Amino acid sequence: MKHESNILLVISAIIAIIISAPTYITIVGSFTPIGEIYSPHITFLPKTPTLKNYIDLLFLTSFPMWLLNSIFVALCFTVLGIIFCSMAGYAFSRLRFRGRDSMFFIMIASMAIPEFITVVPNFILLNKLGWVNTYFALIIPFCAHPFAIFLAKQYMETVPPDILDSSRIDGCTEFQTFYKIVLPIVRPVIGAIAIFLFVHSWNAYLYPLVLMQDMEMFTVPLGLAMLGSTMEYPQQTVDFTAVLAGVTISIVPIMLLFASMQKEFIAGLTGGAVKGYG
Amino acid sequence: MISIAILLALLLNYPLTKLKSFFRSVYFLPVTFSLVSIALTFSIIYHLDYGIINMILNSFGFTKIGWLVDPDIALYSIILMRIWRATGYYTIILIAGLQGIPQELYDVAKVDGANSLQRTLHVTFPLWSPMILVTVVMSTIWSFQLFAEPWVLLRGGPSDATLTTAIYIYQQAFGSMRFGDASAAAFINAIIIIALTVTQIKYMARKVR
Repeated sequence: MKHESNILLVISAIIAIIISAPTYITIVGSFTPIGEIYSPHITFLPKTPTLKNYIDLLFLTSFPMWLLNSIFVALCFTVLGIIFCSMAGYAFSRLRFRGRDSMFFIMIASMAIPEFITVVPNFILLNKLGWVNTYFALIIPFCAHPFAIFLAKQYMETVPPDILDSSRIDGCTEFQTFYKIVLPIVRPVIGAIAIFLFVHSWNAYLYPLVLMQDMEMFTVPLGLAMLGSTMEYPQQTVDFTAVLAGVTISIVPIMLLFASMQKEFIAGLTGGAVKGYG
Repeated sequence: MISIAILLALLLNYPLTKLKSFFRSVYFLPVTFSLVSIALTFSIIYHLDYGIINMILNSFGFTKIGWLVDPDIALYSIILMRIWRATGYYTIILIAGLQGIPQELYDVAKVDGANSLQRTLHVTFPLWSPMILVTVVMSTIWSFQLFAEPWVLLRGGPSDATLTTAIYIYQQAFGSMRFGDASAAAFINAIIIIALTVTQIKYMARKVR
């Protein structure tokens, strides 16, 4: 028995090493001079660790601006998203109105349609609104995300209706019931929704690519992708290791967040799907 | 991809495996990274001369593989990248499914004399199949979404080897400003996705029963 469990441990560890290797390569690469990367030896640790890549990134490119854009957009997106999605989840789970279930069905069905299918009409719409190249375009249209609403609804259905009835009898308005009774109960799922929305916005690529045309409005993924293919944008040329530094800066917050709120993370990114179909 | 995830989920749910929650988080971590970061990371890993994979192959005396330059191979490089990122995700979902299977059923099977392989085949899989269906449908839908990795790495090249429908639509609409063509392509694609998903669900649902 002991023997068997050791074998399994070794197998799991090998897989873990394979899975984390690219991340390791990125982080180490960001501290390595470019010459060492392009040398015919495998480098596990940089021989002459350097911060040059980070300095280049921060002073020779517009990366700081992209970082601020990303943070601003992701925070607004998350806060607004939580407000809308929790309210929508409450309505779908605990209020009765005509067409509720069919509306919910349409919303869920829309999740099955990939985002690139609707990118053209969305672009035309946002262009007519004059929102292209503004923060609005990245925040407003997508923050009421069906998946987050679905998560909220799913969890709110566990709140016993009696509690709501008694609060209504005590004279709470519908909004007070939602705000004072339901929200505190569903706090765990709000964490999961927040993380889902934040990661979604932080990592988004296609819509920012289409909607943000000025370099000052770029988000981090857009900017990094641009730096990574410098032949098309020769204005801002840095070593590829500086791009790796940017990648490191963009994944480290997410890694820290993941390490500290793992449960909410996994629930936010998978929980709804698990409960929904199963 | 799903078959790897099934094996990993079984591994991580096996009572004798140690440090389960640690490995679970390690496997899940790539899911949280943006596709662009992953594409950029892999552009160095797949590098023809200095990428780690080719250097390892070289040191064992194999010839270098043109991961991103060879039109016959580029698509597989993209697929490999996708497997690397998404397997952990499906593993977690499948583990959740496994944990939903009541322990009593295993105890009963044990009393009836089923060995551990039989228990896996006849208790786990039938009860697990709805969850496997979920992951198969999800990964089908998501595979159609393939955009950021081939776009950032290769712009759909070399010689259109990694041109996905998403890239095609993007190029039509925002490269050549042909919104009509792009919408037509998107519409056809949507129909295909819906048809595939429905068939998949129907087919698998029959098997599940």
